[in-house]
Amino acid sequence: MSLPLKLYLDAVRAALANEVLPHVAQDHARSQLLGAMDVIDKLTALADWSPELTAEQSAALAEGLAGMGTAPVRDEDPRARLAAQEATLRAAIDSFYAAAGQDDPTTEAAIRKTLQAYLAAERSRIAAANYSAMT
Amino acid sequence: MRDAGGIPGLPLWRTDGLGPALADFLSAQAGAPVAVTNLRRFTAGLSWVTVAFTMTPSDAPARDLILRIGDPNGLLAPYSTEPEVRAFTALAGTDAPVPGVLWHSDDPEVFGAPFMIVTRMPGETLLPRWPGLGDQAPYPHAETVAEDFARHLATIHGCPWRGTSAEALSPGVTADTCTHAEIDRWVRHASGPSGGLEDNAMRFAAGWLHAHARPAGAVTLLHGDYRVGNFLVDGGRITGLLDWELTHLGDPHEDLAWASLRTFGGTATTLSGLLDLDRFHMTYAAASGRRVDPGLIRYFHVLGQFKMAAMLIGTEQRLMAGDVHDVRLAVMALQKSTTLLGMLKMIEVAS
Repeated sequence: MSLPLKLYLDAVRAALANEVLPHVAQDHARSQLLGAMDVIDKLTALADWSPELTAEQSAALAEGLAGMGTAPVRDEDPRARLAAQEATLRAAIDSFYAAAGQDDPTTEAAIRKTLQAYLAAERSRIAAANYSAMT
Repeated sequence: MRDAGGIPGLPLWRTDGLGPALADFLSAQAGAPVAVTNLRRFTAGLSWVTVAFTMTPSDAPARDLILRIGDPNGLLAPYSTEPEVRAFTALAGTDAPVPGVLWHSDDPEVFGAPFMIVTRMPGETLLPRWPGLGDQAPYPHAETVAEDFARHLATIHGCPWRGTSAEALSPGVTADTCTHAEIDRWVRHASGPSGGLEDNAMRFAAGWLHAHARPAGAVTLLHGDYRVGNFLVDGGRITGLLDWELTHLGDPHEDLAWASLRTFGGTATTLSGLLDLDRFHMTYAAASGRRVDPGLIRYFHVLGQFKMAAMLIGTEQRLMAGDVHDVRLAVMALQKSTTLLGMLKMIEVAS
């Protein structure tokens, strides 16, 4: 996840406060809405992304990078380790496409599969959005 | 920016001040009083703000028109009216159903943002039919709409843009450079504070797209967002082509691939679950005289998905900057991993 969880909660709260609340006239509905906003306020200070997500992403990158022959990242802090692994993969991608004659389908496929495994950890936690309900 | 006049933070078009401002502008243009009634803002888009209204001059019949405002907070901001105006001018005299531009300006003085006032075309927007919604009756106008959809695209791609103002849509591009230029445009859109792409999947995809790009068989005028949802239908025929903000010059397969993206409800056999894909391609080929190359379609599916991902990354950057005016931006940002996985799968298929 690129953004702090707090930003998403701020966006939800802002939508409720600025776009919904001014149009809610019924007393009970208004009290429920204000209650929901209060809960969001309280949870925002506590919220963070799942540590299991970080661990899964890190494991996916460790396996993929090992398959590409890069040295393992040995940072004790899980988030720092993941950041270092992401930087290592970035360097591998840049190096691959900077090289003249990058017609190397095997390495290209190895990078792609590593990215797919990394993204799958996040995708498995987020259901598809129903945009048609929001238009 | 001109604001709502007494409503801090709200742009003019989100307030009741829009109607009087519009009447003032139109009265000044007409040199006589003009009434503005029936204002109705369409809620669907996250890009240009679209407002329908009726203009009634004191000395002429009423007209139903559309005001479009390039919201600085929109998905693809900053906006300019120039691309659409150039495309419409180039297409004048063809049978492509595009709106007539009555007034337009990029000057924020009038409404607080770039705007255009265009003729209102008849019909209703056809929305994609998403997979998983259960069995539904076939769309009754599928054949005629698919035929029109293909035929109008052939007209756009056949537009003689050289020597017209449409050349400025993609200055200096050639068959060798047009696809690279489009990749670079979206790399810039998705670039973060470091000045480059900060997502590894996007860096990989950009490298793949550049490495596997082929020279275009022809450089044509492109709609840029040609898909179900961006045209009007009336009586089973397409009566209007909408949303030209991404128009540019490039390989015609770019539009063909975009129309069939799964992101817009496309399946292996349909455009957006509604129109027959083979029929669309066959009608297009016959009308344009161009061969539809399946390999290029697969390549441009990747570029199309890369653009979609770039837009989602743009929403992330807006959230990061504290822009929370529409919670749907957050909804979109949360779809990034799904979109990137789709893009990587398309690379796998196209490799």
